[in-house]
Amino acid sequence: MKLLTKAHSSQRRLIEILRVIDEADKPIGARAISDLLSERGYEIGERAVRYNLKILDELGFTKKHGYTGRALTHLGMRELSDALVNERIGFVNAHIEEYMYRTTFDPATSSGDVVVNASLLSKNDFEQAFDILREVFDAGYAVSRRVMVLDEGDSTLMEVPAGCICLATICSITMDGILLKAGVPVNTSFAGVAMVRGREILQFTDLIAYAGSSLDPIKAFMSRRIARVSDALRGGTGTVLANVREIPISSSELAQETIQRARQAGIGGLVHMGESGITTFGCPVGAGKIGIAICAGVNGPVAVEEAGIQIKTLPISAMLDYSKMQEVL
Amino acid sequence: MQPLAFTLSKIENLMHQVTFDPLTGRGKIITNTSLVRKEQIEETLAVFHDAITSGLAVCPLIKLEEDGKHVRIYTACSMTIDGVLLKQGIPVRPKGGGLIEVLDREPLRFTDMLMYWATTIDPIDILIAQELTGITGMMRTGNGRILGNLQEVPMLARERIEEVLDHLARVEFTGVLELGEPNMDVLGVPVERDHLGIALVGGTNLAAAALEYGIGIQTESISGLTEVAEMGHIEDIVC
Repeated sequence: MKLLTKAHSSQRRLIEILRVIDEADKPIGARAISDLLSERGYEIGERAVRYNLKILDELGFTKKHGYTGRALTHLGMRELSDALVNERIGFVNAHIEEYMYRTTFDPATSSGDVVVNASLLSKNDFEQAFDILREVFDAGYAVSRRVMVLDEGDSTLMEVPAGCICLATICSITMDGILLKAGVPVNTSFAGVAMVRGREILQFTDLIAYAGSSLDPIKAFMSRRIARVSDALRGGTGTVLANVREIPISSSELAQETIQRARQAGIGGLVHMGESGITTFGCPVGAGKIGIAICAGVNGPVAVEEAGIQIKTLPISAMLDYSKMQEVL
Repeated sequence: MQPLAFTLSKIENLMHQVTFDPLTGRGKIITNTSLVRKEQIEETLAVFHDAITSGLAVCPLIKLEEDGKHVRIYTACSMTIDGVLLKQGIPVRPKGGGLIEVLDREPLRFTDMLMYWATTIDPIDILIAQELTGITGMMRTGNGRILGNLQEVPMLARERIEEVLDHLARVEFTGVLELGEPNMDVLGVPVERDHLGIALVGGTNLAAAALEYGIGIQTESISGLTEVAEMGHIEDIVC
């Protein structure tokens, strides 16, 4: 059975219930689900939630845990990622906005929360991976030199299995958060593959708009293995992942100052601000806007993968306190 | 610097060059190109044949071309149908490519989609790399995930569209998964006001099925135009 057989409005309601259960870190009861739904604008009473949970149980999407709690089944998780495709086109934008809002990093004190990507790799590859990361950081093709390494058994970002480590690198969305907090209206528009040489972006060779895809564009580029970060190291020509945000022309001075301050605090990497009225390295920019291209934080893990090391990366996955992260020297 | 060309403009450029006339069965169609090593061509064609007979292709025409140690395979791209509709004076707008969940041989819904205006890489090529397809599963059991796309046409043109699609079907150009009702969702995706949606099966399903079988095939969708007279029927090629 699939949700699709139901009317659109009831599909939406059932999916919202699945989302609430998914976001809870442990099995959750009808009362709590009803409260959380109300925060999201869905006024559905406890009894009605119970009725809907019964439908979800019958569909095989949820399962009772203990006396009152409900958890998602494997099928339920899958339905969550498959249903209502139209509402998932451009979802990454909403995700980015959420993380921008949660960014509290203050360049003046070098503290606060930043957005991170999480990568999982084997402990045995740790040293080789770090040598590669260092090279990427030296070349400026990542957002920051700071990382956090989490050992097996840790669950701050994800459950780290035995024999593995989790590596957190700073995501370029942090810069959008910093700009937002400085009062610049930012709109992250495109992710792309940029041809680079000697710390300079030459041009974009491929682009995907965040607003036009149900997949995360950066993830899409990563699984296509389209970038050649290792070619770009040591002064060569290569391609790296980058993204573009638009700001109004009138904000350009404020943005420039803010980027400069963030850079002094260790967040920046290769950042290029375009001119008004023209494309940014071939990437379209709206009238009255300026494009800012920033190298993606995942270029480090991408280069590690290019060296043949197995690494699994989840972009934009959590917030971490910048002052607790360590610089890779 | 020149702005990059997005998939929509690449498609429109090729649609404009389609000269295929379903009544005479002659002219140029839009094709996808796949490249395989010579020693794998037999296996590849067997998979293609299976996929075509399972209804996962636009038409059974195919063209082979030797290229050193490789063979280049040209197969029809579903955008050919858009091109033919356009040449009949129907304003057709390709919207996006995606992954379609199939249940009991019935297309159920899109589960992922990328809009053509939004990407410089064909959505289908991106989706193949995600390894989310389940084409061989669909061929064997009737359940799985296949590649497809969505276009919109004004509802006013409905009768004319049905007529053209009928002519196309008579020369074995099928591949229409769903012709929507005016203003109604097509496989879970809404259409613009006073339009109807057409979901087509992606021609790249053939290459994606070969990939799932572990054949090292390189593919580029919506890559060029091929004269139908230079192509042969899969049944005549595989025997």
